[in-house]
Amino acid sequence: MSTVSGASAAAASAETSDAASSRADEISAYLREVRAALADLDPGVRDGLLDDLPAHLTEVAGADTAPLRHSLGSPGTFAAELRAAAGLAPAAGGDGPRTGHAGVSSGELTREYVGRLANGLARACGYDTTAEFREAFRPVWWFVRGAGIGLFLVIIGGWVSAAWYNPAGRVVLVLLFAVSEVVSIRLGRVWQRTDVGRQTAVIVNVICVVPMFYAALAVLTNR
Amino acid sequence: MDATQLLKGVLDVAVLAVLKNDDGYGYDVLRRLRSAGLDDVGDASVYGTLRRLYAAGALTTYVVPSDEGPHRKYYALNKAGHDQLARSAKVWRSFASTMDVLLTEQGVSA
Repeated sequence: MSTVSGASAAAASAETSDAASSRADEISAYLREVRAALADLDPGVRDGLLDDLPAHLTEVAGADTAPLRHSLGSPGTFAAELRAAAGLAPAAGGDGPRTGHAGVSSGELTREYVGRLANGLARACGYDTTAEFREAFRPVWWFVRGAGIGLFLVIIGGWVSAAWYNPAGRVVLVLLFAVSEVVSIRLGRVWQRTDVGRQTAVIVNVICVVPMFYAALAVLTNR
Repeated sequence: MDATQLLKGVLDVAVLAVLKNDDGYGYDVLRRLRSAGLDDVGDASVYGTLRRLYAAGALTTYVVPSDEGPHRKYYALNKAGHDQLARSAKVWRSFASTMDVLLTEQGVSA
């Protein structure tokens, strides 16, 4: 009896897993088709529009067992509604991404290619959009900035040579960098929530790039 | 009269209004609008509107990781958003009041 119920449970579990996998495939396919319908947009604009979509499709699929096409309409209709509501021009009939057409400035072309490169990198790393990739990568930048803050303090304090050549000085340097990392990561989490916070982050980031550049130069010139 | 056409003109103010007191992510905003009685509002219209308001500088965003799936992007009104909401609400109330008076004067029953 227990063997039979165990087998039933396993079968039910496999069925649930298949259903979840099929739903995930449906979400991916829908997302892909919406993206294709927005292929003519600037990559940055397109990513911005699609940024929320994976989470939304997951919510819709979780709330209703009906196919996404039934709940949301076709991907083409969804994309057209998205464009209209976002105040963007309707898709030109069948035009693909802009590739060196007359009238397209070199700046636009550069943005197009940089955008494609960023998209390719994001997808190669398993992310659906550049924005999603950027969000995931952000803590790494906070960490790097922490090192920058540490370097900045070391350079400003003129402690580099003095501290490094005695054991206590090294401990102080390690502690200084550890505190800088904690401060940078905690501030990163707070700053990303407001306009003023993001503007402050830009100023601090610029200040931190200078000592990193200085340190890189010192390493390269073997000083 | 098709409510969808009317909705297009006032979706901005409706979205700003449901975000006035509580930040929300896209699906959350959609649910708030529908539970307020705007049943015809489309999913893509809400996302497009959020994006446009964000691009216009009326909203800020922040990302909150979710245990149940992809991260959620929360939208919040900033000062420009609050100002826009106040202006739009004034225009809407004046317009609705004018229409109400016009219909009443012409003897059109509710």
